[in-house]
Parts: sequence; C-alpha cells; structure tokens
Amino acid sequence: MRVNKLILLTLVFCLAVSGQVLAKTEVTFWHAMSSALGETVNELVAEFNAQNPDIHVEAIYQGGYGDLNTKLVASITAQNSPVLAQVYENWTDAFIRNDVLVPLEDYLHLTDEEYNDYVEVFRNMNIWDGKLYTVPFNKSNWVLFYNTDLVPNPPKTVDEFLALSKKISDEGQGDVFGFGIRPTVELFHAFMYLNGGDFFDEDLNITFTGQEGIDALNLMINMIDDKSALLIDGYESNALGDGIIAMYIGSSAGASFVEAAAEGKVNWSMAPIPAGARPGAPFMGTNIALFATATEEQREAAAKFVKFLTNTENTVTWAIRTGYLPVTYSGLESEAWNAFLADNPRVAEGPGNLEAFEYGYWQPRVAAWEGARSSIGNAVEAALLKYATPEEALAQAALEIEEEIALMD
Amino acid sequence: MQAEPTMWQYRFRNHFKMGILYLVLTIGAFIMLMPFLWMLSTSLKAPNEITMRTIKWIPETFRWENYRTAWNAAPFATYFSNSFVIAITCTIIEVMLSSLAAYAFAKFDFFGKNVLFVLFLGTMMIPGEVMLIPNYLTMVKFGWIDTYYSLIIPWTVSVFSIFLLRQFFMSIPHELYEAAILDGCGRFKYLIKVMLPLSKPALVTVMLFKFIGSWNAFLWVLIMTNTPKMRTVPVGLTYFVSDVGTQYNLLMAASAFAMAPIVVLFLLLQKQFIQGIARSGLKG
Amino acid sequence: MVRIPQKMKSKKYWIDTLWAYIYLLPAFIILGLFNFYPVVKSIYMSFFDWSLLRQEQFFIGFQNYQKLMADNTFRQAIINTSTYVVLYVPLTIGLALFVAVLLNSKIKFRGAYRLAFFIPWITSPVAASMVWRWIYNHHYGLLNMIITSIANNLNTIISFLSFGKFTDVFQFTNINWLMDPKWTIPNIVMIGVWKYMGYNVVIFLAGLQNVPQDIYEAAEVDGATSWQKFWKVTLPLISPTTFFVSIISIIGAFKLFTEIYVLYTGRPGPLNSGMTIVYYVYRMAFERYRMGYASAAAYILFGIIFIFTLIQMSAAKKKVHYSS
Repeated sequence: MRVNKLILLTLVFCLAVSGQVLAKTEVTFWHAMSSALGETVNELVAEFNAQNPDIHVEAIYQGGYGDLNTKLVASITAQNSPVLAQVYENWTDAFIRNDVLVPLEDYLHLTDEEYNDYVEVFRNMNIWDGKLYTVPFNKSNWVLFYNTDLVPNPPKTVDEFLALSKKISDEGQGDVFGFGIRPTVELFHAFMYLNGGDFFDEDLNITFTGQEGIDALNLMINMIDDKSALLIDGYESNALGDGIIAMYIGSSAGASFVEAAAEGKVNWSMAPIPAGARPGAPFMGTNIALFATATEEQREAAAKFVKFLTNTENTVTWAIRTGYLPVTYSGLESEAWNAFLADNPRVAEGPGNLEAFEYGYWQPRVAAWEGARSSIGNAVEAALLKYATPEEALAQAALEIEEEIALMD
Repeated sequence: MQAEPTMWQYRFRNHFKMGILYLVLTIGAFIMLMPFLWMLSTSLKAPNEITMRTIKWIPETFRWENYRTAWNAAPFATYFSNSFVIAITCTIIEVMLSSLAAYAFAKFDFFGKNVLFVLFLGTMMIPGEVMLIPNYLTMVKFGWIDTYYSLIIPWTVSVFSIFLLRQFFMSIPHELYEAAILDGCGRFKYLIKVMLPLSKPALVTVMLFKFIGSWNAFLWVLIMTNTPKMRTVPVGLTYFVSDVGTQYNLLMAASAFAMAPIVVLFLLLQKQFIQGIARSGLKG
Repeated sequence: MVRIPQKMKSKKYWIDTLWAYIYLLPAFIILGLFNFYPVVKSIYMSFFDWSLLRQEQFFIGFQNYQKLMADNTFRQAIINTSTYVVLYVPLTIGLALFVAVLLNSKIKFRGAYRLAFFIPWITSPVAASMVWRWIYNHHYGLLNMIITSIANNLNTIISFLSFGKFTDVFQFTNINWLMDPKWTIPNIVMIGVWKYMGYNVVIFLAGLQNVPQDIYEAAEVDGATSWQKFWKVTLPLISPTTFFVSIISIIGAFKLFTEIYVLYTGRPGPLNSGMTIVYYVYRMAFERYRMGYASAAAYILFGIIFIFTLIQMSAAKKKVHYSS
C-alpha cells in the first residue's frame, strides 16, 4: 500500500518536473565576456527570457577565449556541446570541417532586407559555403591610438605617419617615441595589407613572402633602427598612458584600458589607420555559432535569441555599453548610436568612422591559421630582433607552414 | 697548534656568524617577497598609477575600495564557499587514503610492491593535459559534471602524498614495527598509535600541499563545471584579464584576498613542522 | 624451473600481501579511474589519428611517433626542456636545502622568515608574472636597473682606487630579457627557483625534523663544526627527503609549461625559445585538436622521465638511508 503510494507520488512529481522542463526550450550560450561585458550579456539574456516565456537562455561565462576553446573542444568530444557559443573564425572553419556546427542562417529566417542589414564586412567574415554560418557579435576594428598633446592631427598616410614618428622621437630624445611596435602577426599584417599584400591569395597559396611582406618588415625594422619607434613587449595601452609612445595601432576594444592608463596623465584619441598604397582596417572579434547537437526546437529558439541580440536596439546597446561596434547598418545609422558618437568624438573619429567599414579586412579564416600564425609570429620576431633578414625569416615561415600542412595529411 | 679560543673570541665569532645568517635570510626573504609586496601595492593603486616607467611602491592614496570592487566583480562569496568545501574535503580524505597506501608501501613486504610503486609514480610523469579529455568523458559518463563529485573525488589520492609519507614512514625504525606486531599490536592500531603521531611534520606538509593544490586548481574546475554555483576562486581571477588589457589593480586585489586563506593556514600550521622532534628517545 | 624466493613460502608474506592490498585498495580504485584508465586510453590513442572534433578515429600505427621524430619544433622542445631541467633542478634543490637548514636553526622571527620564503608559491601566477615582466622589462625593468647601478658603483670604486686611471671598466647596456631568445630558459629558471623555493623548503623542513637532536649534541661534544655537522649528520639523515625532492623536482621540471605560458602571455617565448614538451602537447591537443599526436608526444616525455626516475631509484638504493 505505502509503496504504491510512494510510487504514485514519485510519478506525479516526475511528471510535474518534466512538464516544467518540457514547457521551456533550454538554450545554453557559452561566452568569454567577463566583468562589465558579462553583465551586459546577462541583462540582454534576462530581457529575452522575459519576452519569451517558452524559451530559457542560459549564458555561461567560460573563462578567457583560450579556456572557452578548450571547454568547447572537450564538450564536442563528449557530444554535449552548448547550443550557442562565441567563436573565432578559424575555430568555425575547423568546426565546420568536422560537421560540428549547423548554419545559423537556416534558422534565422532572414528577409533579404534583414540579411543585408548585417554590415558587409561582418557578413563576409561569417559566410561559409555561401551561407551565413555564424553571426557577428562582439566586433571591433584596429585603429591608430594617439597622444593628442604630441599628435595634434593624426596622420592620414603612412608617409605622414613615418615622418611624424621620426619628428616626435627626435624631439623626445629617448624619453618619448613616436610609435610603439609589438612584434605581433597582426601589426605585420596591418603594414603588409597597407602595402597591397596579404598572407594568402584566394586559393590559400602563400603570398606573404612577396615584396609587400618584406617591405612591411623593413618598415618596422627601420622605425626601430632610427628610433622612431620603441619595441615593446607589454600592452601598448600602458606605454601610451605613460607618455612613452605617442601612437600605436591596436584594437578599439582596448580603449577602456587606454583610458584607465592615461587618465590624468596624457590626452588621447583614436583615428583610422593611415593609408598606404591602399587603405585598410582590420576587423576582429568573435561571432556566435550554433552547434549541431541541438534539437530542432533548440535551434529555432537559439536563432530567435541571436536575432534578438543583433537587432537594431540591442546591437547598439551592446556597442555603447561595451566599446564594441554595432553589427548592422540600421544600428550604425540609429539615433541612439549617433547620439553616442556625438558625445564620444574619439569613437566617432576612430572605430566608428564609417569609411573604415568600406575597406575592412580580416585574419585568415582557415583552421590551419592557428599553426601558420605561430610560424609567422616567429618570423616577425626573428626579423625585428635581427636574427634573420626579412626575406629569410618569411621564407622560413613559409617552409614551416608547408611542412606542417604536409605532416597534417 | 691552535690555541683555545677565549670566551670573548668565541662570543664574537658566534655573533658574527649569527649576523651573517640574519643578513642572508633577510636579503633572501626580501627577494622572495618583492613580487608579493608589489602585488599589494598595485592592489591599492588607481589604474593610471600602474606604470612601468617609474617604480612607485606607495600609492598616492590607498584605494581600499579596489578590494570591494574586485569582490563584487565576480560571485566571490559563492566561489569562496565552494573552494573551502572542496579543499577541506579533499584534504581530509586524501590524508586518510594516502596514509593507508603509504603505510603499505613503507612497512609491508608484499607481492608486486616495487612494480606497484613504480606504477603509482608513473602517473606523475604524464602531463595532465592529455588526461583532461579522457577524464572529462568519464565525468560525463558518470553524470558528475557540475557536481562536487567531479571536483573532489579524482583529487582525493595523490601519489605525491603517498610518496612523501612513505619516505617518512620508512625512516621510523623497522624494529619498532616488528616488536609491536610481535606484542600483538594490530597493523592498523600501529599506524594510528605510532606511525601517524611520529610523522606529524610530514602529515602537516601533505595537508598543506593538498589544500593549496585544491585551492588553486583552475582548468579542471572550469572544464568540469558549467554554472557559477559550482565554481571556485581561481575562476574569479580570470574576470580581470582580457586579450586587450588587464585591470591590474583589481586583479591584484582579488589575488590578495584569494591567497589570504592559505597564508592563514600556513601560519597556523607552521609551528607543527617543528613538533615532531620528541623522536630521539625512540631510537634504541 | 623457476625458483620461488624463500620469503614467498612464508605464510606471513602472503598475509602481509593481503593486508597491503586492502590498504592500497581505495587509492588504487581512484587512481585507476582517473589516472590509469586515461593513461592506458591515451597510450592506445597515440596510435590513432584522433581529432578531438571528430567522432571516428583511424588507426595509423607508429605514424604519430614517426612524425614527431621528424618535427623540428618537437626536437627543440626536447632540448629546451632538458636545458631547463639541467639548470633548474640542482639550483632549486641546493638553495632550498640551504635555506631550510638556516630556517631550522634557532633564530628569531623564524615563522616570519618561513612565511616569506613560502609566499611565492601561493602568489597567483598571473599576478607574479606581471611583476616578473616588470622586473625583466628592457627599458624600465628592475633587473637592468640593478645591474647598471652595480656596474656604475664598481666603476666609481675602481676609478677612485686607481686615481682615475681606469674609468668605465664595466660597460653594461640594457639586456632585453624577454625578447632575447637566449634568455628565455634562464628567465624561467629564475622564476621556477623563486616560485618553488617555499615548496621545497617546507618538505626539507619536515625532513629535518627527522634528525634527532641528540646526534647533533653528541657531534658538538666531539667538537664538530657546523659544516661537519651538515655533511656528516644532516645530509645522510635527510637523504630520504632529498631523494624525494629530487624525484619530484625532476618530474616537475620536465613538465614545465605554466610558467612559460603565463610569462610570455600565451606564447612559447620569442622564436619558440620557450617551447617545451608539455607546451607542445598543449598546443597540439587544444589548439590543433590533434589528440592522438599530442598523446604520442606525452608518452615520449613519459619515457624520458621514467628512465631518469629509474636511474635515480637505483642510485638511491646505495645512497639513501632510511633509518639509523
């Protein structure tokens, strides 16, 4: 008797619990947004959940990008990946090759108008096999940070930039340098791109060993040699804030760190990267991907959430609160964003400068980039630290990349 | 022929020696402490005071509010209580299991002893990075993701502790063991009554190390948990670091309160390191 | 015919064996689940093309090992790791033993000194690395500043003593510690010694409690100097601890990774100068998703450490004295 009653009670309880769970579609969203950024994510999520009683999105902070990647890989292996996650383009490429993702476009149900509303450069960063596989989320671009006390008018061309750097360094007499160089792949990429070059051509043949690449390294080496630039190994934002360097090229997402370091010490602003043989603005940041392990309901619900995150109002809220960029044209044109730009001339002149969106470019979006990047990184260091000539260093990197590709197969 | 040193010479030599000793220790201690002191100093600074250019040890104003800001930046109250639960449970179970295993290795002559010991030691030689994924799969299979089980049970045995305790157990004279067993003292009773009390410094060391290891574990915790409810203090420290910059003052403040419990534990335990000395009488 | 050792015929031996296994059982189960099983599994998987992103895997025999042997980066990782071990292990053991002996003597503020030597180990690695990056900074770093000031002071003294005949004997230009590949491993050795000092000192202090006070007293009566006491009494009596510390240090040193990853902010130092075996394993597993290949690299490391440990253990049979 009592046993039966217990079973009955258990059954009722189970039904009640499962009923509740069934009523809501669970969508997990793994991200790497800490502190204030994470809070903004949580607020947007809470708003979405309130608006959609049948869906429950749970945003989970998974550490920095490296930790998030490790975590994603572990979950993919165990086939318990989240429904949504922030991803870089080269992760996306690797994931797609292994059928881990499904294209978000299939579930977004975008009208042509909505589709074209995503800023072209961001859209192109997210297309694989002709489909918008992932959706741009926290995007930033690289700009020229400068000390307005030393640089009244930011240089528009590379030549102006070089002359100005030299002048500031000469006047600074070893205490102040015109430019700060960190031997990174991204900075090398920036100068090479301005010269008209890139890492690979469209068929992924190596092109960075060409003259544009060599010239880019030589430009950096010459700047260090004639003391127009200081070779630094930490965050450039601190060097700018300390007044050691007058300019650096870096991610607009670092603006809050520049502000923290510079407050009360130097005045600063942002401008587009000066143009060389061609203009160029690298765009960075992650996108949101949908994982194949999700059920149909989850996929639909997830797409709904992604659409919500990137709608005009929210992409602008996100951008204003975090320092990233709106990802849609309607966002960039919105009143709220333009009011924000009017109050923040630095953002208006730098990352928010619409011209840069016209000539935006991005890092290679292939799985093999992770490996290639470290070889090229070594080449940049070797050349800048004079362990090899730019020609030798780049040729060595090309050799390593080809070897690694051969080893992989 | 050497003359006997006079009392005065003897005392002078002694003072001189002690002087050198203190000097060496003080310089050494200062070098050891410098990064820590810098950390404390940075934790009280304003962001624009954190500069590489000049060395500034004393902040202009002591910004104690950095500690509150850092505390509120992540759910540290939850993280701390989880860290305490996990570290304490791990430490207690680990000392028990390791003592048993170390006792077997140290005092029993048994079949397969050397092979087993080398097998145990071998597990230390594999980088944890290759075991992470297989262990994650096991945890998923057990349904232990996001539970204390996954954070505690795999860490309740450490070969390090077994090995350290074995070394200490082995240096307790074997005749004592044989005599006790002949007198009808049970093996387990001997462990509890004789071995453990005599190995107090080693036990304290093992406990301290386990507590620290458990307190500082990061990647494992991050991989095995999905909710802030189950996470620990080191996860909170990542909140201040990003790929474009680091909030150094807040990070240092958080690091300071993150390590405080270990400092307290060390101060409580450090007297115990020197209390195993009543041993000399035992040597026959 | 196999000869059965005499002891195996005794009943006591088998009773002991039974009890030993009972005592070892809990540890064995847990190690079995979370260490032996993943180890065996990944040894097995090191013969597969195992991508973490793919569900199916392909058996490829020894190919992973062959590719490793052909990989220059891996070769460099082995060299870098070995250099670190050779520099770090003797230094860390020697210094820790020295400090432990000092801290074991009857001095004032002993607790405070112990805490000071212990603190580096528990300082958050990220916080510590920020400070080290500042110490090693090319232009404004403390290390260059100290060396410059020492050089200048020596120059002043020499110039003074030689009545101005010799000036600027020591020329020192700032070293770019963090960007010069040849300093990468020494930098890390310094950080390693700093960090693990407290760890090893605590173990040695525990070991020193095993040395009965009356032996020292007897030695003093015989007129032994502190130096003699150290060599003749302390060193032999703490040999089990020294043996332990050296095994643990060698294993730990071969597994060097975190210190480099944190100091060089997620990169293996300039020009791969800080690429170690575990760094390589990490990179292959989590950045390239090639788990089979990473496992193979891990087992080559295992082989190296294992051989070292066996050599140490057989050497220890002669040198380590457990009870007097």
